[in-house]
Amino acid sequence: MLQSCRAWVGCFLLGVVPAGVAGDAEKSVDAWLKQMVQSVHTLSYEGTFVYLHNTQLETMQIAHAANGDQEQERIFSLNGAAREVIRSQNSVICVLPDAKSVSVTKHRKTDRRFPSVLPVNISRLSDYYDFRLLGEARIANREAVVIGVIPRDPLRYGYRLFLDVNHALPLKTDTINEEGEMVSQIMFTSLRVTPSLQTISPTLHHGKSGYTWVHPKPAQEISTSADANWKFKQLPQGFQLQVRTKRSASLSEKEMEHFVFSDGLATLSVYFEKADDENGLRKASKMGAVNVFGTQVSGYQVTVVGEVPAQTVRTVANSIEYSAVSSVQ
Amino acid sequence: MTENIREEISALLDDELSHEEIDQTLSQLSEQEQLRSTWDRYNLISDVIRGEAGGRVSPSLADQVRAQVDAEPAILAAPKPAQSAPAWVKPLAGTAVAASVAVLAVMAAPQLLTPDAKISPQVATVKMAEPSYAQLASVPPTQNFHLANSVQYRVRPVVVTQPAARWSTQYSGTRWKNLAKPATENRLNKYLVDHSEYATQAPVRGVVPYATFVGYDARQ
Repeated sequence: MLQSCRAWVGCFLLGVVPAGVAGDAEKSVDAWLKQMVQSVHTLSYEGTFVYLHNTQLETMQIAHAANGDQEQERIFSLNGAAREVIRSQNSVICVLPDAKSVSVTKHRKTDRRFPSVLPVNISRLSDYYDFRLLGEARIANREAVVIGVIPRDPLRYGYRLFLDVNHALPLKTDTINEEGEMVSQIMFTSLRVTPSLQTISPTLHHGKSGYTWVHPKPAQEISTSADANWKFKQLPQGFQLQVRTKRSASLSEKEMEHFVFSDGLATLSVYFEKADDENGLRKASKMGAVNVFGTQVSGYQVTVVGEVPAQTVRTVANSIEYSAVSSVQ
Repeated sequence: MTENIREEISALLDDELSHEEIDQTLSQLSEQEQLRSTWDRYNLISDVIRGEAGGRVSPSLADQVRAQVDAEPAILAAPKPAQSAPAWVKPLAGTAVAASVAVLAVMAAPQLLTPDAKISPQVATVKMAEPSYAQLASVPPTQNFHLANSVQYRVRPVVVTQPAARWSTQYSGTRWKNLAKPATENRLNKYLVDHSEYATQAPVRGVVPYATFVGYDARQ
């Protein structure tokens, strides 16, 4: 035993100094991130990843099919309730076996949602994040380059990305909070790039008879320049309004207005609904890296949701003011 | 500390000592705080050279060594300069010592599953959320050496605050924190799904929001 220990100590503590890193590391962070964005959307791949947030560990399968400019994607939980989210150009389908329901959200044609992707604009992002090439690693038996995305203020998360050297697919993504703690880690345990995968077969074929089918009314996009009754007094620097939608009231749902802000990496949503019940959130909550904060402003339930630190959603929520400007133009 | 011990540590790292000498050096190590920091320093240097995080040496070794020195814990060096990057930026700093400790621990006690980051002095600034972790973390590194090298198994104290809640599968799922009303949770879930659609457009892959939702535990 001691002999083997000694061998291990020798091997691990001293190790062999391998040859220097080859050409790939010379590629700029900019180039890596651009390739990542491209690959994530234009390649077909299948894999299994683990998702650790706080102390909770999940295993999920992902399948992504790219066919020309068409994309489909399925995320399927391998533990607990067999939840599933299927995204495509036209819809997002959530299968919730535990709630015995299937929710189908159709997109309107005018929506500039999936698959449109925000381009990586490093020069703009550089005002809010520092990008660094950190080294190399091995994840899911693949060689990876490690990129650090370091926020310049404590109002956004940092990221450590482990990108596959061949395709720049993110094999591991660490999300790191303002304390330097990892709030979530996503790591592939296996990943295959499968060019032959062109469509994802729906899994809604059997056993769904007792399910409730829900068809939420799609929201309508409003011009971001249109006057809003809502004033956001304290958005973190660089967060700009990306999308604004409004959903009119239906039998099952109230009128809702939704603002999406982004600094180019992090995304923050603000939801407004008439506060006419006791179910609105009036405090902070969180799940994994997602923080939410709810409050009431001028008779409205205001809920801020985002993959940003708790402080950020709270500050944004508490800085929202109502001003009686006509929003109808 | 004597020059002799320094040499022995160095020799240990170079795998030049006999079994007896290893035992002797390690037991000295585990007894003397100052020596332990020397051990850590040697480990750090060794890990840096090997490029622990990447398993190989990256081009800017000098930069990394400098970064490593900046990131050294208080017992090793003066406070790090204010403008240095956060500790997690340096994968070498975060994992270097932990990995060595892990190797040692794994050899003697494969069941030792405590995250090594919690033990490593390098990561001593990590906040402890759970009392049990705090207690685990307070176990000095010394005991790891005992564990690893003298095979003195020691049962770590674990504080179980709310036995029923902590161990029941009913509470083990992913849920919104500090919420009790199903209707509120339901609404947040809708927001989350909706938000995820937009978050997925961001360059840093928005798989997280959906993953969060897929993993959501609806059990009450």
